[in-house]
Amino acid sequence: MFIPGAGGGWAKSILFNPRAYDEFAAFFHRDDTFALGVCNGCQMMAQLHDLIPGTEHWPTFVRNQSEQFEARLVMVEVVDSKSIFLQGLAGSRLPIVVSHGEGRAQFGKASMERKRVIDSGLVALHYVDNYGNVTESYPANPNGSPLGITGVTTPDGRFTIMMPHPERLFLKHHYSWYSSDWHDEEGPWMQMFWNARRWIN
Amino acid sequence: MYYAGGPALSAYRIEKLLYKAKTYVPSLLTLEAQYLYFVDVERPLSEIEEARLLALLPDSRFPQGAISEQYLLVIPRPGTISPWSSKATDIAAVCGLSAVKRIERGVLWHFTANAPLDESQIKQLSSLIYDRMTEAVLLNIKQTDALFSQAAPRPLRTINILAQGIQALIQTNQQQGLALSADEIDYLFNNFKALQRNPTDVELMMFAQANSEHCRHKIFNAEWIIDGQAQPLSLFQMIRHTYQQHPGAVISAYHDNAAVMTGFSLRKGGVQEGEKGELGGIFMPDTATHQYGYVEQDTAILMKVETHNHPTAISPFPGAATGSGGEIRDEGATGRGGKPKAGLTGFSVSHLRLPDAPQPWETPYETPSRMATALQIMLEGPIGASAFNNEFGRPALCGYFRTFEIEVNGRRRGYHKPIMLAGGVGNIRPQHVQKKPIPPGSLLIVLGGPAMLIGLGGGAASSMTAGHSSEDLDFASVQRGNPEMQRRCQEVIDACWRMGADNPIFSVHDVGAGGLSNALPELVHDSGCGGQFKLSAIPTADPSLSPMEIWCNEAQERYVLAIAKENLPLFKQLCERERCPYAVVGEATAEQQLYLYDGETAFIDMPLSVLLGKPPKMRREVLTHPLSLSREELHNLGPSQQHTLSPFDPRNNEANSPLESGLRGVSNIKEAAFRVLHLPTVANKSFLITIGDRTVGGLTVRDQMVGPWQVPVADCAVTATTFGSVTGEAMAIGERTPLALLNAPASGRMAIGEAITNIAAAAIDNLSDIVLSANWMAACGQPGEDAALFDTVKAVGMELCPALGINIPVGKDSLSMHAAWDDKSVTAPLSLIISAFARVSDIRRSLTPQIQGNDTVLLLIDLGKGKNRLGGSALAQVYNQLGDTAPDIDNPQDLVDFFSIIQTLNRQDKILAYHDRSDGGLFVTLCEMAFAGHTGLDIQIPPTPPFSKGNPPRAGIFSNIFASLFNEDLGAIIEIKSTDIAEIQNGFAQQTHLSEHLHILGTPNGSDTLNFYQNDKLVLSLPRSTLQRVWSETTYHLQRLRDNPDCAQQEYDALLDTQNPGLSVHCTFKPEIPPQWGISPRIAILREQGVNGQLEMAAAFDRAGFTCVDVHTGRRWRLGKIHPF
Repeated sequence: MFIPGAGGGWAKSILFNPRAYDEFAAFFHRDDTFALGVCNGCQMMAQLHDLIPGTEHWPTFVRNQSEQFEARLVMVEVVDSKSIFLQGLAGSRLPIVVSHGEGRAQFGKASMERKRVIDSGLVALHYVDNYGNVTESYPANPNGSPLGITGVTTPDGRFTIMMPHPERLFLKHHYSWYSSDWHDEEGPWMQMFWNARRWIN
Repeated sequence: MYYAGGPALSAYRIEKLLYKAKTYVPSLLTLEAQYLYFVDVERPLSEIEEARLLALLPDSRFPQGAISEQYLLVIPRPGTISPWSSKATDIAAVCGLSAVKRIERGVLWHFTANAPLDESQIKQLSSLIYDRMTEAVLLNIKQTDALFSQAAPRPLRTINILAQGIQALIQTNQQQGLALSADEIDYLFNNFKALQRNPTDVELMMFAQANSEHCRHKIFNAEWIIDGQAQPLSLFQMIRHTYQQHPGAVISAYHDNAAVMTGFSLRKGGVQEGEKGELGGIFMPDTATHQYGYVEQDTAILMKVETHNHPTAISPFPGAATGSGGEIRDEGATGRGGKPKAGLTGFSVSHLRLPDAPQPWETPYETPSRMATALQIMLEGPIGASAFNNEFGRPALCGYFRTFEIEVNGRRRGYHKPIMLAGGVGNIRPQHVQKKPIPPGSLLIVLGGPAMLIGLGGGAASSMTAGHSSEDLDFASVQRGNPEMQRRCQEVIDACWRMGADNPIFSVHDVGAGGLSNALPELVHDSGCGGQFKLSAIPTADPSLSPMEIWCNEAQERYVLAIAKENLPLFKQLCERERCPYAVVGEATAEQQLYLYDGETAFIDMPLSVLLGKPPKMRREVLTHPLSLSREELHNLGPSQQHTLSPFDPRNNEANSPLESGLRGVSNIKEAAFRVLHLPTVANKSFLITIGDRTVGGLTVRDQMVGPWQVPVADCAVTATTFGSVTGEAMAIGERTPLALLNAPASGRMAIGEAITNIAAAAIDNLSDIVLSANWMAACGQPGEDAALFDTVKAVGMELCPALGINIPVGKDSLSMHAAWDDKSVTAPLSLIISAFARVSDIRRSLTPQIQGNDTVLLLIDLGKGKNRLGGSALAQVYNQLGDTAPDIDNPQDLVDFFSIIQTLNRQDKILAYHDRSDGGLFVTLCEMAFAGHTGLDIQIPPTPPFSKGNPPRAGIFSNIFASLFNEDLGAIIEIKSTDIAEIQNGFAQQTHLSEHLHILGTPNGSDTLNFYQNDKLVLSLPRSTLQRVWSETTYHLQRLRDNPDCAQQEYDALLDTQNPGLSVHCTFKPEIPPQWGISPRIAILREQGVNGQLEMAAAFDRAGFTCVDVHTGRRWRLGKIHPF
């Protein structure tokens, strides 16, 4: 069933509500704020181009190529970007959970916009296969996103959106599978939240 | 007013549909589907408003030109509001489009054809493009006015019994499909005559619902006489017996919407319950401040399992969706408010008959036109259930899927009437477990969506044999789900229970079968009250509803609850924050009278004692069916069997004949292996799993998918009590229904056995920490089936459970598992589906079947003790046979010992991998372990057990290698370090009587080939990847039919890569924990209706040192409050 995607409808309710619009715009234009949009939050923020500086070329997220809800543990690689959440993580390849029906990144004017996003270093995460190669094949890439792109950030890195769910995996035991090398109670994605806490100081 | 939208279906779906449609309408050339949006407005929209509306609706624009002549327009059934509509309308309101009353969406189907379509062709085409339950087809777009029509209400009807006598009642019973029995009609007639008034249709429908088999469980409470012998206990009493014998940890059984057992305490030493704590309590936002934190708390665990068989047979998507939805509501409506946590789903259907993958055992048989085929059910039903869980925000962590259909003695047995199982586990605060008595004067509230004309008479319809009620009644009885609305209700309930001692809810019930007519009387009756209700206070979406329809419809996503008058402002505030509709519909009264009125008119005015009074108790006089096999089948079983053969006489349990299978034509081991792996019951179930969110809520520890290759072979599901806790909950399913055709009590015992060998993979301190839900399905009234049910309940309730020391505090029965049409019929076997729930003392020790390798061995623990019984097995089924002797639990103590030693070995870190033996036997258990570990195996097939004098081996058609590999007696395989063998053997010798039945099977071989040896001779050798592809073929075919076929192909072909290293970790950083700065910055966790996952997001930021605040965006701006972020 296609509803005005949970994230899409949410974005509209902000864009068309003058009070919400102003409040969000002010929030995004301060220099001491940050935001993380995951899944519905990612779909929502992806439609707030007008409000978030430097996001003109962000993709929106549409129906998965499989035309089905996809809930899987898949591999992503952290791409070197300014994202305050992902500082120091670049190059890591880690399992992460996806759970969505509408996660395929769709860029305006196809390749042009996509190129801009890549060239300006805004890509934060992309799907890789189990060999570590960027992938468009299913189900390693669960939604058909071009070049596996599934997370983007802003030029200053304060605002990051992604379809996969690091927050569901901040503790090790919540991974369907984890490496026997992990000895801490937290899993590696916890670093994103610690990074955010550090950034505040 | 309407607008055009984008294409409703992708190109390949249209192509598929066109191809199908051409078989009915050969002249058809093209087909196109486009969304149309219909908008009901209070006044004409301004230009700005219209532009805004168009921006809201995907790809929308003004319609251009006239619609081509040939089209069909599919719209939601007039008189109902689709879930899409309620959501879209809400969003429009938030966006300031206050003049928009409602938005609805339809699909315009353009088509072209060589010749005009005649009426029957239009009908054929329509049947392919619309859901006859929830939608309507229009031939003219002008008819869409019906969507927003303001028709006058249908009238109240009074049945004139005072003048026309009992005949008037008999007639109404038939016309309305009330399913009242003759003695109920007498009872009603006499009571209303005594009251000196004519009953209204509202009262009759209410009575029919409240007293239906569905709601009253008449058969379970009946007095039984079997073969002329009166039985001392009812079925229900025998189930309760388990609880009386061993209440264990259960603190609420049988009387509420779900059962409850105690969990572990999350209180630190000395901390009072409800105080704020450091990591360790329940993580939640405070209802007043919206600030997240951990609240120290004892915990309790609630569990519930429902079935929704009839609606799923008629209309799989909404049937299964509302099955899950109703069960979730039961959990939320436990005590004074519970919190659903993780769900399970299961399906039993007849043969799939995949068009591209027919199987040799699938003999032809039809499905009646009004029922969905097995394939339709499995393509649509699971999506319905998952979509509901996903949107509601509950992870789906456990399930089962069985296909079964076979001809026995001229009777077709199978699941044309399917089983759709929905269940789950949740948490509840101990102080909210018991409902509080409702004081007279309390307000009675309906929480949730409006009344609609859907699901009228569901309780009565589901209690009839499929095919016996009229088709229209069948359809009217199916409900439809709106998970997003239900989520809003749950958020309100959450806000209430989070207030702890100040929880305003006295008592809450969900609205299910029978609608308000069942829920409201139940609510007040619990407290010994009556109630008076105002009809016009009940919110309705359809002005044309009659009083009876308003009171009795089963529009979903509603709860009824009672609060004190003075708490109304608080409750109102909570509802408004969640944008959740609610209405005060009445008041509790001291007098036990039900009164539904409006102005001067009374629609109901009857004593509760008449409604729920004492309709005569049912007496069930039945016979056992001593010999159900034909002469020919008897002959085939061989002479040695005849004197003991009594497959339908469960009292005779001595007919065990080890090494005998009674199977014919099974001689090729490779063929047998491939067939078994193709049986959907055994095969890969990915298509049922990846469609369901398994991580929402952030507390999942063990889902179905296992290991770096994510193979769906987990034995049980495990969740954590809270973020960072080591304790948690586990659940698992057991069901072995084909055995019931051989030995019904054995099928019941084996279901429990399998549930226990499954849940044993979790760390559970005591067997008595496990509680069971028993869901009973039977074709009551069919020869022998009643007695089979009785004997199985007795075997389970009076014998096995007491012997194991566990109880059954919850369950359900569905006793019309028979489909009959024309001269055909299909009868389900007696089906006991067991769901086991347990508190888990250490979630970190959740075992999986993933083989680890590196100097390890595999051990088989054979609880069948070498009997190797093949009756009812997957092997028998794939040769379209039953076999003779069913596996069984011969000595419950073996299971007790097994459980205890597995737990001990787990705590000692001795078990590297664990997998129980069930469908498909040892062979499949090993395959699945190898798939999960991506490894080959060298396996010695266990030696033939010693023969006892009473059980000599039989020469002939059957070699025992099949019995060893494919028997489905209980058991498990564990992987251990080679160096631990002696110690473990010693442990078995000391702690169990099983050491003779502990077999060393072999080792992982580091290659990609599974080798099976018998006495050192290689008898079967196949690549792991080949076996896994065979095992995955069913899921591939179903995905291809259901999803994008290209994706299905890619996933299936990915299995060809034997080198695939699996998920792996390449971490470029070391954890850098920020220092304790002593300040925790505030962070807003935003949410909107329809959005879930806020709790785990808050928990992650909380752990990093933030103070998290719950912010509902829509509400916030409407109030104009601005938080300082």
